[in-house]
Amino acid sequence: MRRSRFTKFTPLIAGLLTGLLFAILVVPLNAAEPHSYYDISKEVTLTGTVSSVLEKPAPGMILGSHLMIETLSGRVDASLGRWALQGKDAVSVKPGQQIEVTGIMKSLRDKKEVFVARTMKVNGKLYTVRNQHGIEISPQARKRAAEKGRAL
Amino acid sequence: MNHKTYSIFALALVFAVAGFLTGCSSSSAPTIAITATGGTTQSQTITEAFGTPLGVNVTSNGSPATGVTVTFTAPSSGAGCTPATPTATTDSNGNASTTCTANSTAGAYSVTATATGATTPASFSLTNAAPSVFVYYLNGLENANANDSGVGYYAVAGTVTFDLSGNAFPDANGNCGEQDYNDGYAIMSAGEPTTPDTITATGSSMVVNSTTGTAILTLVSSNTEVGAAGTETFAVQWANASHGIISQFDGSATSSGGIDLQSAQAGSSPGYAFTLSGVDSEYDPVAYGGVFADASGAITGTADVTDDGTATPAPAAGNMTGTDNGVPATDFYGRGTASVAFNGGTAISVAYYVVGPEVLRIIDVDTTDSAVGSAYGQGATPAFDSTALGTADVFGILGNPWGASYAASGNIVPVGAAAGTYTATFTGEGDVDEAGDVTATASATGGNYAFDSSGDGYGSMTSITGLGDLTTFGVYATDPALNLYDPNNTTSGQGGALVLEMDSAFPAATGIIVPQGTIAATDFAGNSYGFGAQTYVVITALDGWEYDYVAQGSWDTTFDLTGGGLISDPFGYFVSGTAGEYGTTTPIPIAGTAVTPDAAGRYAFPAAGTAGNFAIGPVGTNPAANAFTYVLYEASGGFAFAMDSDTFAVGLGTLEEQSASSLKAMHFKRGALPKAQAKRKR
Repeated sequence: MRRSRFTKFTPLIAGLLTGLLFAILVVPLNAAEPHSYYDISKEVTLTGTVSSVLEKPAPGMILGSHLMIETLSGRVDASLGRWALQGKDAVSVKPGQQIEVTGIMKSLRDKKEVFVARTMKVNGKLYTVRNQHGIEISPQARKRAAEKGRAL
Repeated sequence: MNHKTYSIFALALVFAVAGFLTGCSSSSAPTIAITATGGTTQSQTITEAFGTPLGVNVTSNGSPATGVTVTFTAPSSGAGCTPATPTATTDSNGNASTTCTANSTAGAYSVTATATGATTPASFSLTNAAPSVFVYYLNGLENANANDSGVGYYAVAGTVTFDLSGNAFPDANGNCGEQDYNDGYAIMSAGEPTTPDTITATGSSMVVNSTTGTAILTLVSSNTEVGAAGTETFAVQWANASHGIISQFDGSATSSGGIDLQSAQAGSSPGYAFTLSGVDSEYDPVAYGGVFADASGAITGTADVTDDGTATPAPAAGNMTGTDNGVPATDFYGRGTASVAFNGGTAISVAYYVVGPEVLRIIDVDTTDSAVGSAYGQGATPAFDSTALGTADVFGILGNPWGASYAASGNIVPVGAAAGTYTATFTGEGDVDEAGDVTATASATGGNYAFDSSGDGYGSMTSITGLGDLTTFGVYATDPALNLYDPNNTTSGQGGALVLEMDSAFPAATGIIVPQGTIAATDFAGNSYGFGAQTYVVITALDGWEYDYVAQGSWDTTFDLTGGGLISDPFGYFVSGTAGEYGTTTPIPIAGTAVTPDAAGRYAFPAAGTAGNFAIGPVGTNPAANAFTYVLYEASGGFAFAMDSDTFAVGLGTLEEQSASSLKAMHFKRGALPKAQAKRKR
């Protein structure tokens, strides 16, 4: 008897579940997972010595300026993005300086590795060159943030 | 004979003579005839004088009649014209003429010319034509200038009007258009958000090579901060007389966009799909996409936002609200204004230019933020379901100039779509270039898509695989009868959707999905195309990273694309470190040899550095042609996306079949292309 009652309601339950699934699907983007191109949970901090500052990329490097950093585990190509060395509050760094860089290591399709830097500390000063999604911060954005008293 | 008899005889003689004379006079009276000899069938723009005088010849018994008065009569109401001399007198050859100036009413009508003694008038068939209003919109990178700190984002939208002779057509104030320019930082139209800059007719022009459809558009703006001291130059490639692709071409900035003939001055669609991309008030990349209804000035919609890497899907229907102030009756150019807010945030002010009843170009006109995009109608009764994407499509997506530099293109084959259902899956093929990291090359793709069950066309593509790091798109369905890349085309290419990229690392990218037909290797053979692309250089030592080009070429049976065009390179990519606008004297050669398309409609050119690669150049003093890796995804023989997919540049453009007959009908100045204006001081 109990079993038959349950069986009787199965179509209703199935219908409700289907409806719930449908409801989830018809509001398409609410359930979208955050993308992990720049996964902040995988950030690491490197320390080392700046061996060279490339205001402009060498052949084969990705867009923007780069720092070559000598770390205990070898040389790292740190990408600073298009604007880190430009405009107001640009990063001030010279070869030979100690640096602490936070970001993520990315492997490009050609297997080349690049360290995508988000923040760096030089001479005790902290610079933020990308946001938490890895988006580069422009000089205009730095100026706007300063005008509004907003931290980057 | 008596006196009485003589009198009767004399009277009879008088009558006889009189009768003879009368009879003689009646049989020899001259026959007066009037014939139209010039300007018999003409068209002219309203308010302008017809180019050919209305000429007549009057004869008397077949010989020129001198000194005959001729009266020219035009309709007293409606479309008509005003003769310079309503009456004229024939000269020694029997000729008379007058010029006629069209009144302000468009339409066809007849003017008659009558001559004294002539029974049948001469007739002239005249037409007063409305001027042609073109709507353009672009975005890209602005060069460093005296007003700001460096390279920046900018957007521009506006209208320009030409008469049938190709002259800029002045309105009552001597202007031929209006324009909104906004870099969100330092340069914008002074009267915003309500009043745009004006375009002065004097000095503005469009000069077209009528063989290739390549043109230079010169606009004299009331805003002296834009272009070269207010004079802007654009390169235009016309695909037909009502649609072209356009790029700023004066060194002040570089950009890409579209230019289209305006077919209506007010929008009339109950619902629209839209995308808008630019920079926010923090000067970070931002984009919006969704659907909205516009009823009696109240805007209500459902929209996604991606702002500086934070993607915010619409949390609920109705998260977009606003007010449409409409197009003022006084605005000859179809420009209206609106304000819209998303998720209860600060409203942004926008201006829009009507292209047609279902197409609006939109520009953000706030002082601290800037964006540009389009809204497309969704038909009389939007009712979109999973069949909205048809049976096969191609898509193209390009990153915002201020955001991440990347592009994606490919084809989409819906699977399981059915009327009355709102979810389905898709398979396909695609290419992705993420800032020079080519993460997909003819990759097999797949994923889910869904449209809202309300039928409003708000939707998404999720769990996308095979497109590198791209996994989620917002998708917004448009009227299946609307061509998204050429809105005046009502015979082919209809249907599709707008796209907004929703992954966090790729903010503010937008694109379109258009239907794909059956692919045949001969689809392009023998056709001429207008094409162009917006390209971001990803390995560069330059201050800016964008160049743009517009071009024309032909495609042969062995997949050779051969053409030439105009290149806007204000940051000096092609001639290292030397800015320039190239191709006005001799078009810059652009050529390549693709391989046979695959089943997805993908045409691949050989990799850069390989024989047959897509090449641009020589350019300026650089003697070498620049090699690129290019792929095309064909929608039909009439349209394809063109994508630059290599390690040093990312770009996306279109290849659009030209209509030769339509180009010949273009009413623009023809001739050699003028060189770009002198650059402003940097």
